[in-house]
Amino acid sequence: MRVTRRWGAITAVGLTFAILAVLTQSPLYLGGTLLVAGAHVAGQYALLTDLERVRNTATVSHTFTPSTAIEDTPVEQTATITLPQLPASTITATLTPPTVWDTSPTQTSLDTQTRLSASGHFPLAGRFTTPPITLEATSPFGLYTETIPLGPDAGITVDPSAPRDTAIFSGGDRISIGYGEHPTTRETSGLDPGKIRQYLPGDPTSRIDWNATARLGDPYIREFETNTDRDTLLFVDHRSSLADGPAGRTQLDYLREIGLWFTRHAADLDDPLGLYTIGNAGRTAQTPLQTGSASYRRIEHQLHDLTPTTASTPTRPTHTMASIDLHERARQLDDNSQYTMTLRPYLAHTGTAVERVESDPLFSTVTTTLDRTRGDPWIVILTDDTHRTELHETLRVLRRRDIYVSVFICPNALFTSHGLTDADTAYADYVDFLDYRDRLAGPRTTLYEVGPGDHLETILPRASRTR
Amino acid sequence: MTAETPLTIAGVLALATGLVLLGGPLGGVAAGTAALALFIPEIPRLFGVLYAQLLVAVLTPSLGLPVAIAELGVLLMFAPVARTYTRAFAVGGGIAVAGVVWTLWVWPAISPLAAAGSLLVVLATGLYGLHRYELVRLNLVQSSHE
Repeated sequence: MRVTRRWGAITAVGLTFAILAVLTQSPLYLGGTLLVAGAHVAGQYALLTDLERVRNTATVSHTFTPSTAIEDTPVEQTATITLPQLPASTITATLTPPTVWDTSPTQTSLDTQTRLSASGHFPLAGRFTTPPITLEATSPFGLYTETIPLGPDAGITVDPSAPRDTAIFSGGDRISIGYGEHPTTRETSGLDPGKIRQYLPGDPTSRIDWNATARLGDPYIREFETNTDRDTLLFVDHRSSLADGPAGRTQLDYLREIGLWFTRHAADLDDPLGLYTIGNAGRTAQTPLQTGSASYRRIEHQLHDLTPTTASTPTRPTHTMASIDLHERARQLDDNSQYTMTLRPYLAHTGTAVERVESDPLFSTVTTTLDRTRGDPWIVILTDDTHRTELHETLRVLRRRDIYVSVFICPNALFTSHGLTDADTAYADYVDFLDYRDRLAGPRTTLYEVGPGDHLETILPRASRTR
Repeated sequence: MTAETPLTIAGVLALATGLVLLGGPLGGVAAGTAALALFIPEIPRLFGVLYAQLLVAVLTPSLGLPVAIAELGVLLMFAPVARTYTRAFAVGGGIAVAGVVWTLWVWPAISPLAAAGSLLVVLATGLYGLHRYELVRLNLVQSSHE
């Protein structure tokens, strides 16, 4: 219990009365002293009984919503106090927000139903705990105050905004991508000893491996290998369809992790790396093939800054049927049924799939970039399966150019609004995605699925069985 | 001016009656200033009541019925606060009554200094004891290892 300034004034008055009683020898002055004493006792007693009653009868809840949050996402701290009876004393309830919110505590007078709330965001990941609600009561006449904690602490776990459970699968098997030094596929006279082969006319005699020749009885040549720089072009899709998923766990966040991973490894090996980002309206940024720490840093910053662009019209998954499938099926409509008669005009005027997607952002960015890039860079595409025809046609074009391509796809099935709660729907969507993925497969094309590890591991066994 | 209960009004009237009986017209003026101090919201009620008590003590030549009437008026001025904190004021009033009894008992027997001093010591000890009791009841006592 703390005393107030008024306590000091009143006590001084009470003492003055006692002194006057002595000086004037009149006991009536002691009446003032006794009044002060009575007020002191009444104040203390009122404070004690009110606080004790509140503490024993109050129903308190003190929580964060959500209980597990992501960095820099809105969080609300709420406390409710329910009392069966209002106390006589004036009691103020104070909600103390987490220190990192840098906001003042919220206060209100206690009522039978009291609600306190504060909102903010956590700039850091970790476990945060706030102290209980505090009640501050003031005694009658304002002589004393007392503060007591009420209810439990409130805790919240804040996860980093970057996904921590990024998993990469290929055809149902969880993998870790090998991205180390990369030998050329052609044996040359490099520095690292490779395999041996028989001597052929025209080979320089200086390359004869005399030890192997002596051991095997015929002349043998020792091949040497050399490591090369691998030109890598990253194409990162950040169209509006990549915004699916909870804050900090969107499809774009998972793809960003892959992009950053490529950037770091390219930096480790000093490989030339280029970055092209694709939004709804087309290419949004480009960094041509470059090496050097400044370039890698710039690419990392570009990846960190990526946000889903907005679409002028809602994006829907495109039909999965590519041009060949469509025309093949159109040829099968050779009867004169009403159905065929209705469809035939449309199919007759349907352009090729390439014509239909050539102005689409991903297709046009990839093809345009390749037209302007020398050599055969390794193409890495990070996207989802919303624009299926476009991706399909893009890969067809790349294969025709004999280019190695790796595609990392964030399946929409893992990020739908129903999540994994509707298991059957999720499985069906994922099976549909795997069928599409199978159609994308081809020479010099490696396909990966990217997403939350637990979601993929939950779905994949079921999806495999379903297939 | 604050909203007063009939008991408070009765207390002011009793105080005024007592003071007029004790001090004549001067007592009436004093009662008016006490009422003014009591009814001005900016002045804490306890200060107003103590001012009234001071007037009673100043204007009293000797104990008698007018003093009792005036003291009754002083006590009734607590009515609004006592109604809100009934139990607390019952306890506080009990302490005050015990103090009055103690004073009336010891005052003629010992010197005024000893009487006032002993009263203060008893009151201070009691208040501190109540403070310690409150800390225990509210679990606010810090253990030695904390």
